[in-house]
Amino acid sequence: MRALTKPGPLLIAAFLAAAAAGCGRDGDPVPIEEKRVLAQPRPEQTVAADTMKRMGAQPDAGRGAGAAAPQLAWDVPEGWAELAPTQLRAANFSVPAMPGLECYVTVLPGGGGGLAANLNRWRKQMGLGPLADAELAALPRVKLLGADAHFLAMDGTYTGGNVEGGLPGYTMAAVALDRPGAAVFVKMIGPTAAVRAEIDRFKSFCASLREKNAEPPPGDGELKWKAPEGWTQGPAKSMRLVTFVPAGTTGVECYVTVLAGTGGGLESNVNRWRSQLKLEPLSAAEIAALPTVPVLGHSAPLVEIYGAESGLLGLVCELGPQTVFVKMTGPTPSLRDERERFVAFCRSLSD
Amino acid sequence: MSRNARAEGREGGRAGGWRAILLVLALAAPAFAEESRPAESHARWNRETVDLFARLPVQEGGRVKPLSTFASFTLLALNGRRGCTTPEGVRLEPTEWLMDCLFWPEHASLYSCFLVQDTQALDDLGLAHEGKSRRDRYSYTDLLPARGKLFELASQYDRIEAKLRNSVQGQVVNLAHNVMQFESITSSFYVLRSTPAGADCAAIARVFGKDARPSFSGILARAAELRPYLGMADDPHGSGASGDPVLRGWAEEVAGSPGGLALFPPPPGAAADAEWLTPGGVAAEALFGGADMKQPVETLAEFELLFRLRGDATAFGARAESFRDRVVAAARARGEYDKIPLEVAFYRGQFFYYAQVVFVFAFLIAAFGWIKPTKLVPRLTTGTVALGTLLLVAGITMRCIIRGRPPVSTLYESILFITAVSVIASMVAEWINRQGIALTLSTILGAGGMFLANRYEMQEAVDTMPSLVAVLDTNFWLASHVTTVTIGYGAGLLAGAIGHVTILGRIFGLKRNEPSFYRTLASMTYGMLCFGLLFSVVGTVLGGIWANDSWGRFWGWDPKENGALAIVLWELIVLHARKGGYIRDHGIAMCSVFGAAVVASSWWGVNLLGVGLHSYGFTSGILLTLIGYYVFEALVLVAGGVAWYLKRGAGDSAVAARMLPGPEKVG
Amino acid sequence: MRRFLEKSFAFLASFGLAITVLSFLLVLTVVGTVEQTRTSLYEVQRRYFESAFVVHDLGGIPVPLPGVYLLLVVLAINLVCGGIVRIRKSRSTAGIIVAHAGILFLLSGSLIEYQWSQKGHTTLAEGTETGEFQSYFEWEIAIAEARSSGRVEEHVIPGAQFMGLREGEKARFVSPAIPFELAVNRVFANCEPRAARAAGAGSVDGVALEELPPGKEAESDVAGAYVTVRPKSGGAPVEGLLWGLERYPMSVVVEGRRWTIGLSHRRWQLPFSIHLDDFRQQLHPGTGMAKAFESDVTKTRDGVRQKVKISMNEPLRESGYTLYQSSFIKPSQGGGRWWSTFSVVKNPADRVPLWACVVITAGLLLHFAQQLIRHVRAQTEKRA
Repeated sequence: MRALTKPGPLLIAAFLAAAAAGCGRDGDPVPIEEKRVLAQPRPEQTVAADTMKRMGAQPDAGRGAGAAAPQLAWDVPEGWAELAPTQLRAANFSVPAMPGLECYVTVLPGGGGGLAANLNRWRKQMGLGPLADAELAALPRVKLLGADAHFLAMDGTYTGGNVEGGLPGYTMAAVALDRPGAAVFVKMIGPTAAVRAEIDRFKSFCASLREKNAEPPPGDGELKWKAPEGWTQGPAKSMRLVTFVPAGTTGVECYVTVLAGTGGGLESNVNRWRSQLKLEPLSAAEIAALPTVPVLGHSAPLVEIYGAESGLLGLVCELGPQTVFVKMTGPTPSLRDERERFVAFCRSLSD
Repeated sequence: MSRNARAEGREGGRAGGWRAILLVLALAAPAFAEESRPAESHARWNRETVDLFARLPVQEGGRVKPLSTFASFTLLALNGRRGCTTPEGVRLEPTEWLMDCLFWPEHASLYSCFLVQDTQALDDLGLAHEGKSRRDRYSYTDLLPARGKLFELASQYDRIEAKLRNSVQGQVVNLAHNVMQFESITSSFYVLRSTPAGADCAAIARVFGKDARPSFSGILARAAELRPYLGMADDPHGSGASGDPVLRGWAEEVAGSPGGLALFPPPPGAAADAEWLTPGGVAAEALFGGADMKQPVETLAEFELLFRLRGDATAFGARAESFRDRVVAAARARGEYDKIPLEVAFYRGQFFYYAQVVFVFAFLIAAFGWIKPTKLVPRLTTGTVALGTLLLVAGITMRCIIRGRPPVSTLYESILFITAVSVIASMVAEWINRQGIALTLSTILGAGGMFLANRYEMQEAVDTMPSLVAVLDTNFWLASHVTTVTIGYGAGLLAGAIGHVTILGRIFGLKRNEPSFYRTLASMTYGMLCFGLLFSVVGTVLGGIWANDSWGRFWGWDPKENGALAIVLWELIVLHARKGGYIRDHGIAMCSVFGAAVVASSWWGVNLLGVGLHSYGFTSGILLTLIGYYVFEALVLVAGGVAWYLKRGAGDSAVAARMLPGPEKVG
Repeated sequence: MRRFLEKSFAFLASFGLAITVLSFLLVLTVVGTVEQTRTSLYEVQRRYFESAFVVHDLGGIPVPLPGVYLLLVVLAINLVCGGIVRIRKSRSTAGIIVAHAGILFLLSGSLIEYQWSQKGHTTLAEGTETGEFQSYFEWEIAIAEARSSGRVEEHVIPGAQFMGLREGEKARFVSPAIPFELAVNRVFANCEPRAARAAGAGSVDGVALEELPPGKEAESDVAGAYVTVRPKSGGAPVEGLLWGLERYPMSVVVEGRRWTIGLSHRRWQLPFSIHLDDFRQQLHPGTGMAKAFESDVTKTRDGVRQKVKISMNEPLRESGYTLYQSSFIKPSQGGGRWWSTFSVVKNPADRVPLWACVVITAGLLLHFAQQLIRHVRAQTEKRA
């Protein structure tokens, strides 16, 4: 019975001691005791990245008006391991059998500062001097995304990693393509022997690179947008991605529909709308002369019909496998008021 | 003035707001403008037809329910009551109102079925309201001029957290929601009114003939032949060309038409959790989808005929039967009809309303007995309470059968169940002690509980048989944990109720010379506390075990868990204090009154905190009631304390002595 | 001495102590609940429920209170002394004793859970496999030699050894297997990397960590630290910063070998692995409300594969670990694939509450039934 009185204070004392116990501060170094064994390294451990990259920071040139930045698809060469893409790398690989080797694809909207500047920056990373314009022009070409791209292989000491003094005996292979709207670079860096061993697979990888078709099926909701001020989202309706009701209007609604294929084609849709408002059809030339709005990287014709009482604003954006329709209907005066916001809304559509 | 003339006057008189709304639809169907004007007069529906519609199944809120249930809760939400009066002064029941909304939307727009609690909300919207009282009803047509402003403000206020909105903001959000709901219902069948004719549409001319004017369902029935003209790129049989723009345009408008009611069961062979279809949904599936839509399209054809017969009550009634037969057969084949008649019977029975009436009646009898005791009164009271209890239990049982769930899975059901538990428990206490006190209490608890339940249902105005979130989808835990904990609540509240009798009895000198009366009360309170503790402890631990099984932690200090724990702790304190001689009869009464307040906090209070996993939504109307209750209990406790203090010297020394720490006796 | 012991025992076994402790528990439960409207649940648990003492802020007035941990310890002692040892043993108290034992069992289960359980989660995409789970709150620094494939040894510094550092304090860590010493110079419980305005102090490669106030949900706080790597061979030290959400670990080359140093939520290895075959979410038809979530997984242990379904209310129990369906990520947010999150708990006392519940129920039932019967009998006799 006597013993029973004891555990209490003891437990409390133990608890207090535990609570007060600090951690290894200032004084002696604390030994690291815990250890675990992984069968494979974590993907992120195979990448040597600088601090900026590690924190997922974006370069200043990033994104911006990059409407034309292509979505890419590819075949992974045998023996390569695909790593998670990062903000700067559209595709990212390691080759498990070749330690220290990395390969990645970069897409820089807006050209990323020009071909020459980039090639020379890489040469500098390899401890080499810049190329003269003539040398640049004389570089061999390979096919990339259906166009001729520059190919460059550089041996030297790689200083691009986060390593003091650089990595001697390294090779960088690079394919660079400057396209309107975006530059595409494919690079492989690693110990010279490793790069040599993988160069053929690197080239076949470059050849396999292609543009991905925008694939979301109708109504998938993949499309994003920014609602103009004062627009309220209306109740969800089938076949429509979204419906908006502009504030302060009556009988006006704006909605987005995505249909597979051409959705009947530009001409028939425009003329169908016109016929609903009892207007004559337009000729193909007249339709071609319609003003356009940049939507989802395409120039989409804008149809404006202002009838005596009611009217229609319509936009047809043909993406190939699917067509996006944005429509606003309602009384003519309200449509005139909302036109600016309608156009802004169409511009805000993004994948 | 005839309806027709009124409607025309309205059309001419206003600046075309209604027309503007319809414009969207008119664009797709030029013929619609002529049809939209109420051309036919509208007689009242036959009683049998209304009955038939009341029993129609419809899918809403994740389950298939009778149309009458949907109508009744929708109207309750819009109008604050289960009824609506036409401008002619005819009182409509919910199903009739819904039928008018579906078949005569032009007329339904004139019914004052939107309750606005405070004209301030209308001032906000810039709507005039001369001649209306502060809390009054408005028609859709009345509200229409401010529709744009209403939605604009509502979307602004919607961003404010519900509990931070002021009352006007809350009302605006509510009203906007109600207007949307009304629009969704009334626009259910607009699609039926506009179909392309052979004369305007090449595809229709090709399939049906040049002069054909096929019906809506007629077109859907031949969707397969029309498909190539829809210009669908992925259609292997498609021409690949652009298709017929008129047909394509019509199909798009129809398939994307507003929501409306899901009255059409999915085609045979559809998945068990397939959605029921609206007319637009049937069209979308038939035109663009892949499933065999023969059966839904045939059902839609029946409905379309019905729609055309709306002016002829007899023919309408007859056609409605064959429509009903098709829908019921399809629903039955999916196993979604079995409980519909029972649910209709449940709501027709108004069990909880009658239970309230009966309990009030029982209370009056009991009260009479206290004034003029006779032998007959207790028996009569017992009989009446038994009847009320029977109604309550019958209602709860029917709900269990309809939902296929144990009695408690929502806050509303907890009121019903707790009332039943406390009434039955007090009858058992009465049977043991035969003092008439517990019996009287049972009438008060029954009447109060039923009042609370009915008020809550009115206030929330949502289906009280909602679909349950994933974690609650387990009858085992609902039956064990929820039921046990709820019984614990009931016992705690009953103990508090008996405590009130003790305290108020002492203050008002009730049975001053019968110490045995108070001793009995004390033993009843004690018994209830024990009963409550048993169920609270077990229920709370069971809740932990459930949480351990679904979230991986036994105890998470979540507010609702803490509420249950608080009840357990308080009851433990009281029972140990009694055992240790710290409190006696009066003290137990005081403690049990406080305990009832603890139960109320756990039951309702924690929901108001708005944090935690068990936060079942903000129950705004409850807050004031709850505060009122706390104030009342505080007054009772103060009065009880004063009473004890004053009587302490005056002879009741036994009580006083026992309030002080005394020698501890165990066992 | 004997008298003193007797008196102490009487105190520890007293009703007075029981009532005091229970009352404090009630007060703590109430203030701890109300406090959750202001502070994160994690913080409230730490301060009120897992502590020996707490100072509660009552509208600006500091109120010192005992913590729930301390109260439960005292309650357990009180229960043993008063409710089991000293209580009169008779047929009429049998139920009470059993119930007390049940409560004690429950409390000891909680202690075991508190001291020895591991809780975390594992989140994986359909078609992927894992043998690890991560803590929601705790952090760790893992040091490993970088390899592109094959076995990797990770040296782990648990967060408890560095997260408590105050400003100006440093902690240094060494291991014979690692050719450098790692010094943690400054830690933040919640922070974000920002581009540094000026190079130099407080920034590494143009990036600095900016401290943030603790969030409402402690599990969304992201820790960060400034570290220094000092090669044992005496080379130049390398400064670096670590952040809980970093994409890649810090990477240093010392003596020709590349090492990675990463900060992440604490990871534990499972004695088995799970592969997510399929995740399904069922909705109530016509609504956006979930009816059920479930994951089909393949569990592999010692080369034995087994298909298991994990759903809400139906966890997977294996080798002392329990996996619960807890959350998911939709394909639109998860890069075209469903992701499933399981909470993972290793709790040696997992089943204790169930058995305690049975014991308590039996005890209370017995006791109250005895009392009720006695009371009914007395009443019947009185009437007769």
